[in-house]
Amino acid sequence: MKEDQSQKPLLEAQNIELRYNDKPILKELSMDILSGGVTALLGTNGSGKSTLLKTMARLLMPQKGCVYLDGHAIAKESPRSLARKMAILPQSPEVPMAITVRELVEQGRYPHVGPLRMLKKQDHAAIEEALEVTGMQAFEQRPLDSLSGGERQRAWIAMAIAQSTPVLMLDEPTTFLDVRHQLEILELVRRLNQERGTTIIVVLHDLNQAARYADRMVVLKDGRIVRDGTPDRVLTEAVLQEVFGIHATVLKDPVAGTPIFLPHSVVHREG
Amino acid sequence: MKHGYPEISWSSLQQLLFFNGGTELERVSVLEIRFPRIVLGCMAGAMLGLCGVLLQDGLRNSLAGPELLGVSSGASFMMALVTVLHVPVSYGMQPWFALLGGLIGGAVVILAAGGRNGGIHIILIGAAVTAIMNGLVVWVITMGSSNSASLLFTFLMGNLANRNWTHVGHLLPWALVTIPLSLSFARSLNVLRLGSETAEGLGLHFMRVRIYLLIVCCAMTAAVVSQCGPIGYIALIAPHLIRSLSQQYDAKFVLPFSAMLGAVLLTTADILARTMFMPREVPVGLWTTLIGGPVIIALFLRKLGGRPSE
Repeated sequence: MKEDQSQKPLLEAQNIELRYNDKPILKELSMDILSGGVTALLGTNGSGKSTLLKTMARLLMPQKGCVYLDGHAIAKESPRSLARKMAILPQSPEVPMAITVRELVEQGRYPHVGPLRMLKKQDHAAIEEALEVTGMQAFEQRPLDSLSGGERQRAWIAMAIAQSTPVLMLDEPTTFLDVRHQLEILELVRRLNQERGTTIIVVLHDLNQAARYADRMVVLKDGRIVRDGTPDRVLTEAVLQEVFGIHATVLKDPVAGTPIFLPHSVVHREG
Repeated sequence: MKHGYPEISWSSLQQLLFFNGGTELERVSVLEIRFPRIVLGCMAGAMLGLCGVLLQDGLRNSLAGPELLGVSSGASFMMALVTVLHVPVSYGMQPWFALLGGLIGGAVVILAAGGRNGGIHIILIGAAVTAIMNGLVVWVITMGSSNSASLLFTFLMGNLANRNWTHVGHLLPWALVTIPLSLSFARSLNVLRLGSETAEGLGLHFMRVRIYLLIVCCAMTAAVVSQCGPIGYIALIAPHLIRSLSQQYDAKFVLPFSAMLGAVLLTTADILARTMFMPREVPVGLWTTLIGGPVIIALFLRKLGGRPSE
């Protein structure tokens, strides 16, 4: 630990190795997440970014290595107590039949109430707040399957917010949405981070959006972290060429000041 | 309670139940024959109805039911063995044997299906195990004497006939334990409906809950089978009827109402079984299957028609 002692990592992956059907997905991977930032996990398809997110949320168990939350190994924690500390929203979760937005958001309180007890005052408060933050109050009685993609995604995020956890993980929350709804989700994520101090880890596909909304970009390739740092240091022409296989020009976003790239052509590899 | 031979009027029924009135024949046929039968039917129906909800929501497969999980047939097979081989067990022990058989049937299916890839795998393997178990039952029957074979035959049809307070007494403790247990799963079932990953993210121990669910279902089914024989389709139909009538999928609602509907369905079917072809009785299991099959087909056809995209 060369860093300042006050900046102990909130979430820590140590030498994670994970194989699926003998195919290594994550190789000797280590990563620290400090409290309070927005971290974007990036990489090409099959690079292991979603797998890393799921491993950190304990949806997958690594064959080797360990994930620590606040210094405690998550493998040893009960699912319930873990779910009170971090929430994960899987990629495009299935939509159950005839469930309303409010009923969905209520499920976020599952780790907080006993198996028989009813929802209490603070549960209802958390549900109201989650609906309000996501702007879903007007939709609360609507069935989930009657909503548009963007509204539905906001409902799912509201459920994760109702879980009231200091850490929120999102797996490709913008996939399949049109650009306006993509920005809506990303702005919501940013706001959660700034206003409530939620530590956010999000898997994204769009590098420009990641550069715009994340404090830190972590780029994976073949199960390893190949770049890790601020958007200015990660979104470079060299990275785009080596990791993503495209020739591109990187500019400065005239409004946000973050790096932005314009793709030109695919890199053709010889041999 | 009123119907059947001897036909009893409402007023004398009232007399009989509350004031110890009526003739001796009426008293016996109502208090000793019909009343326990209705109580038994209610308990068994409620347990089967709950079982259906637990399995359908728990395995996230709308076709799940104790019949298709090897539980019913496992329990039947054990009962067949006990009956035909004249295993010297007391009457009170029989549910335990049925339970053992049911658990073995269920465990084989769960282990063979292995791990998380629930849904369709479990059903396919369950169907296979059920077929094997049924084959074994036939084999056991052929070994037995014709007397025990015919005894077993009426049992395997699923029957509420000739049941008395002893049977009620045997089923009651099971019902008292498993019915509240089933209802306590409501919250978990609701979370499970969001998919296994989301459920786990919400702090549900997915495998553990699934195993608890299956054990409770095995216990309920086995207890019912040991007292009434395998009664088909109640578990499958009651939850579906409730869901499509109410358009509610919330387990907190579906669980208790399926239990009630299961009880109503089974006792109604039993009354039909008793009175339709009087004085002959049609085993109630036959009724539920004969009526249940077409109802299920109708339900699924309607669902398919209404939502072509799904």
